[in-house]
Amino acid sequence: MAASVVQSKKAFFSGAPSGSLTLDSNVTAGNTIVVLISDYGAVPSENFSCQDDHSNTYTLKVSRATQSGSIFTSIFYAYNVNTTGSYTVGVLDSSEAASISFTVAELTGVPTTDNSDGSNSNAGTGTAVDSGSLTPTVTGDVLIAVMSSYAGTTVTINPDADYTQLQEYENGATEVHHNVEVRIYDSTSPDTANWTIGSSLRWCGCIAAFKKSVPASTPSLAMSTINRKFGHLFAR
Amino acid sequence: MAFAQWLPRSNRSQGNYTTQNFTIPSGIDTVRLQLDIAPNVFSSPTLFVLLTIEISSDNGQTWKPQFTVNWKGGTEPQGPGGPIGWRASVGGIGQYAGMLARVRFDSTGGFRWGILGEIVAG
Repeated sequence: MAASVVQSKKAFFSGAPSGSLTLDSNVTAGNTIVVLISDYGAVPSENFSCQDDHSNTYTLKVSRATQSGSIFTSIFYAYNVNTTGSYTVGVLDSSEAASISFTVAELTGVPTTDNSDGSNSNAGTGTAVDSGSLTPTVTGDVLIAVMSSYAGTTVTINPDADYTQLQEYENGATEVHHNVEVRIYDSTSPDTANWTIGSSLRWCGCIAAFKKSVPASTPSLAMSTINRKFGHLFAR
Repeated sequence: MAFAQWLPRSNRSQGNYTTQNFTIPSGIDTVRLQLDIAPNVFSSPTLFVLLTIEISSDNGQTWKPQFTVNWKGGTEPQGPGGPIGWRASVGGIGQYAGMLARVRFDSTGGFRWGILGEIVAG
């Protein structure tokens, strides 16, 4: 079964320590939830955490700040989620009442064990934005990436031609610039998520890979084959 | 298409308040909200506001929360150009075109406030 994103949703809040959104469709138990965060803050480092209303545990996969701080990007995930009914995910910033744009995405076709498969990040200044390079260990990974910038003005954010845009906030007058893109990657060659923004800004980006589920092997069948071929050796 | 409306400022005490319902037009995907309060109450430790954007798919019989943010008294958040106030938005409501939406507030502490709602494309 191929891994894929079945739903995603975005939200923004400023001046609050936390905000949460409810996904539009119920989440399937066992799937993976990824939370991608863009933040503008007034402190040199940030301390984010994520939680949901089903007591799943969210692990920080990767984070990045611009060189001088103030703009931050993070990716959290929870695998094999336990859920029934609606699903609400919250983002908490314990460092300050910051401005946060975030996207929540549900991945399906992924294993119920920890399915993360590498990550990377990058930061810079200019109109060419990237996540840093990532090399998956297997084919069929979901590569999901997020970029952040902020200027108080609207900028055009163009996603990578090899990726599909999931969500974005371009209006910096009302939200922190935020773009999330995804790619189902049938290769183990290095890959980088790119964006092009309409103005030269400080930016940071992150990427994370999540493995697809692999059909379970059939050891009982294998053992029966062994018994049929070599059983006579053990019969005595 | 954009919609903007300031709800009346009022000096409300602890309690809850729900805005009037509005219909989500087709072609929009984001609801933006800005809470407008007097500057001198930003730092009030007694100020706490829980805001929830709700959508009804059955003409107001039942309401489903889409986004919740809890604002509390503290330093006004700063953007590159200065204070940016308290704002919130939620995207992905384009699928609810034609349905009703409203904003619910639960608050502690009396303070003067208003709310600006805007629904925008993209």
